[in-house]
Amino acid sequence: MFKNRSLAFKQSFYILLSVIIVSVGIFSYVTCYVWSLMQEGIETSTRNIGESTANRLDQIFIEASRLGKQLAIQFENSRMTDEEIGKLLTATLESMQYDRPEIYSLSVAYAPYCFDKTKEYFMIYSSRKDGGIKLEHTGGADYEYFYYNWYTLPKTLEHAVWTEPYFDEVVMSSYTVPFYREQNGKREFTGVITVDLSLSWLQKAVSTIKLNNSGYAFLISKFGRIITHPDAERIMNETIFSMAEEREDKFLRDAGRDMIAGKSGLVPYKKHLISQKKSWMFYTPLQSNGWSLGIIYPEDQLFEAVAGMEITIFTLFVIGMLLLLGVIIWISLKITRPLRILTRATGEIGSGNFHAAMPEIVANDEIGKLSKAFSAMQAALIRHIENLKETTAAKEKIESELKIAKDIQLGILPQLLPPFPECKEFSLYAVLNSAKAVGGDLYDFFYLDEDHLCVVIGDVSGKGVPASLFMAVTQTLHRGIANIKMNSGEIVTKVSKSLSHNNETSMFVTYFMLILNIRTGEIQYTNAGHNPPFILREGDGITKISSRHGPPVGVAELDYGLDSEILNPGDVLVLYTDGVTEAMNINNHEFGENRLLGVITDCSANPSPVNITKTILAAVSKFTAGQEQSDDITILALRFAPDGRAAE
Amino acid sequence: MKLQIHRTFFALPLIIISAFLFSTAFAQDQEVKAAPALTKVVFTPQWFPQAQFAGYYMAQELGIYNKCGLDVVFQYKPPQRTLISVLTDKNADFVTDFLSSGIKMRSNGMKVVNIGQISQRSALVFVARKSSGIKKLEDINGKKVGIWMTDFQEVPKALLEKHKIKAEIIPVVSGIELFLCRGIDVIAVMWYNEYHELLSSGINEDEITTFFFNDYNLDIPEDGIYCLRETYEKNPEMCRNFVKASLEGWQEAFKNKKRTLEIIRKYCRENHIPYNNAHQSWMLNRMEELISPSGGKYVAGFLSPKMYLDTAKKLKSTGVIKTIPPYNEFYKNVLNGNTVPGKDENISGKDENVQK
Repeated sequence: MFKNRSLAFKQSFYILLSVIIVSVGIFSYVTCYVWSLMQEGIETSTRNIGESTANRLDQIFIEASRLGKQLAIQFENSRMTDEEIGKLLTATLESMQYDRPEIYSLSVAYAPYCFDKTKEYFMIYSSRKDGGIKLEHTGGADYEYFYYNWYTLPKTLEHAVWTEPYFDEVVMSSYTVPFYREQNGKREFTGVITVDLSLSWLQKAVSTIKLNNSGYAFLISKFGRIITHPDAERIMNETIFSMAEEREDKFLRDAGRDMIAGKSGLVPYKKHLISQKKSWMFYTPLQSNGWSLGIIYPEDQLFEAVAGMEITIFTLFVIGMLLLLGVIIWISLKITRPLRILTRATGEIGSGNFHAAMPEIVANDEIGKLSKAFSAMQAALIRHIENLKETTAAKEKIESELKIAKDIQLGILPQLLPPFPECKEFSLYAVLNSAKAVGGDLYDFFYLDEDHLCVVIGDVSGKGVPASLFMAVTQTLHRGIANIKMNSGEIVTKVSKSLSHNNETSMFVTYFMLILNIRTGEIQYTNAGHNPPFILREGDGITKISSRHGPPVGVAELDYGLDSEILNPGDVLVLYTDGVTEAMNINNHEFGENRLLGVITDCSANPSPVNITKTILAAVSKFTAGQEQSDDITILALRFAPDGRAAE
Repeated sequence: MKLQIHRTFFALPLIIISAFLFSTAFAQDQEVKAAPALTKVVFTPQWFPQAQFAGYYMAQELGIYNKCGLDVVFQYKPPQRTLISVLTDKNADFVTDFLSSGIKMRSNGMKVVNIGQISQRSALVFVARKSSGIKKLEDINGKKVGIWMTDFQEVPKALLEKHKIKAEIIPVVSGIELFLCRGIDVIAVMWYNEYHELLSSGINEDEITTFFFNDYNLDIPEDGIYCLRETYEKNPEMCRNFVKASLEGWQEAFKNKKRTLEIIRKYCRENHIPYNNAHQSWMLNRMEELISPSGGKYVAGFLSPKMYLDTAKKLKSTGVIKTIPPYNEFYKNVLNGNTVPGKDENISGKDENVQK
């Protein structure tokens, strides 16, 4: 990923990344933990507030219901007159004036013909009016109270019940209690007592619940109707279910059903009334009448302490990370500085400046060791280069000496080619290609007298300087020994004896000598272990001179014989060393005698010595195809042409 | 405990303000200076602003009444006052009322005529809790059934009688509280109104069994437009224009419900009536199904002879009326000729529909 980035970058990146991952993990865990703690705490405190408020509200409802029940008992146990009932209701309401001003009115409504067998309707209604108590008789064709909820509810349910809140200048709710009488041994429904409670105090009581300034509470009836709410428009107009429908909030509907079922709980609340933010709702029932108190608090405000902590931690985290980043970069740069210097120095050394400055490092750490190793390498390199220079100089000297040696060696051989240009009887041409700077092959030709030409070819065992020296000795010997009085066998015998005498190096020479009578074309020859020469007869194919007269010269003090042959005019004698026939190609195949024979035969059309030697050399070169030459190659061709064709 | 208790749960505060509204309406009357070409008419719906009357508010707000040469003033009556008295006292030119109430008025000799039958279906429905074991109509046997003490209370009774169901009838003045408290097992409610109040009181639809009256051959449609016969005879053009514009208003109401609800909210505000969007939205959708069963595109506003006779016969057989007034005397097709608009099967009395 960061192939081209510096070490300092990589190090900083990975360390910082690791630290961030670990820190975020710890941070998340701590935050979750604190949140759950906070939530628990808030839940507990909200539950406490909710339940204590519900209890407080319950008190009034409980007192009102107690009053209703007491009145019912009185009506069950005594048959009061119209006046007595009026007095009772008035007195009761008066007694509540200071303790429970919320109780707005009381009424008693009899079932048809139960108060008076002649009267279908009998109802007395006593209410607070203008600081006093007002009594009214009511009921009739215009007000058939038997069909109203407050009457039918307790009658059909056969127990006391709180009515749903209703609007009567202010929001009210009635506690309605059925009362019964024994008639003919049966308990007969006789009428209904109502205690009517003004609920205006509720709004105040509920609105005093404050949570972190932005929470609010509301109260719903046992069928979900909103009784108190900060948004006055909702009061009595909406139910928690119509609100849920409007918001398309199924959770709120489910919570509402839990509320009217008398359960308590804590649920997410889609929208806070004012802030519209995600909120929570806690709800708990009023025990007296099945109503339910809901408390809404916005999540973010409640958890603002946690949020504050999160911001602080985050800020510290960012600052810490920046500091850490600085330190890491500084350390990384410090650590890698010698490396950078080393890199630069190495570059310089690479480009030839072996004395480039290495960083001075005191520390004995990996970088220090590396630096020392580099310094040692630098010193070794300098030394090596010095040695190399010396060696190269020595080698150059040797090479120069060898070149001189070669020149000297070549100087020993007859240089003027073709020789004897003035001679009409024969033509001659020779080449010697050494495998090394100096070679061990030799060839020679010289007149013994004006009619006789001595021709020699040889191949010293081994190569290089020793072979070349041995060759020089051989060349010097036969030049010194040969004279017209001796035949080729005697000369070779003498040369061999001279060489083998005190021959501690055990070197030897394969040696072929011939003496040509340039007038007659007769040749006498002695072959001491050398490759047999060929004679290309003019117009008569090729002949191999295969006679041998002993081992190579220098091996032992032996006597060598001789043979003779006649060269006819135009015949060509071809001498060569084993460098020709043993030349190897890439497949380790030798050039061979047959291939040589073919090449010489092919030269029949132009049998001049120069052509033959060059053709053979070219064929060998083609055959070896660039392979390194392993042995010296020497070819010598002699054409007998007494009729003056030698110049052709 | 206030002695005056009204019918609708949601409109409890209205009782206090109704008298005020009624008196101020006249004051408003005098302030409104109609353009010279416009005929001023007073219209009184059964109840305070709500989606049940959406079409009339749309006709007013979109200027359809004005376009038809009318300057319409909306005027509300106190709940305890009957619509017939509003007409006979000439406090209004046009009122809306249930078809059963209209037939009853006419049968009792009141000189009123129906000039437009807006509702085409009955919205009455019996609702029972599944938990009370009521799954089919026969299960109501022996149960307590709450029925409101109104002009049409005979219709639910007739349904029970027709199916030979013996149930304890509990007369209810208003509301659904008795049902919510389980004081009764079954309650007859209006689909567009109290049915939704049940849902808004925490009852889920899958918890109740419903018996729609129109599924039991008791399809008595409700809201229609009424006026005095005298008014009709004196000014048939005005009646025609009012019905025509109102029908157009209804079509507009269903076309753009969001706008309609905004207008209803506006009327509620103006009349100090609390507005409950969920409830009004429900009501508007249900009114569409009742008024335009074809799917809101077409509002017939027509009372076919068959619909009339079926309803009248049912009322007679249940003892609500003694005699059936002649169709042509009860219903005046003011749209004159555009009588049989088409797909509604109930409108099958085309041939007998002899108009003046």
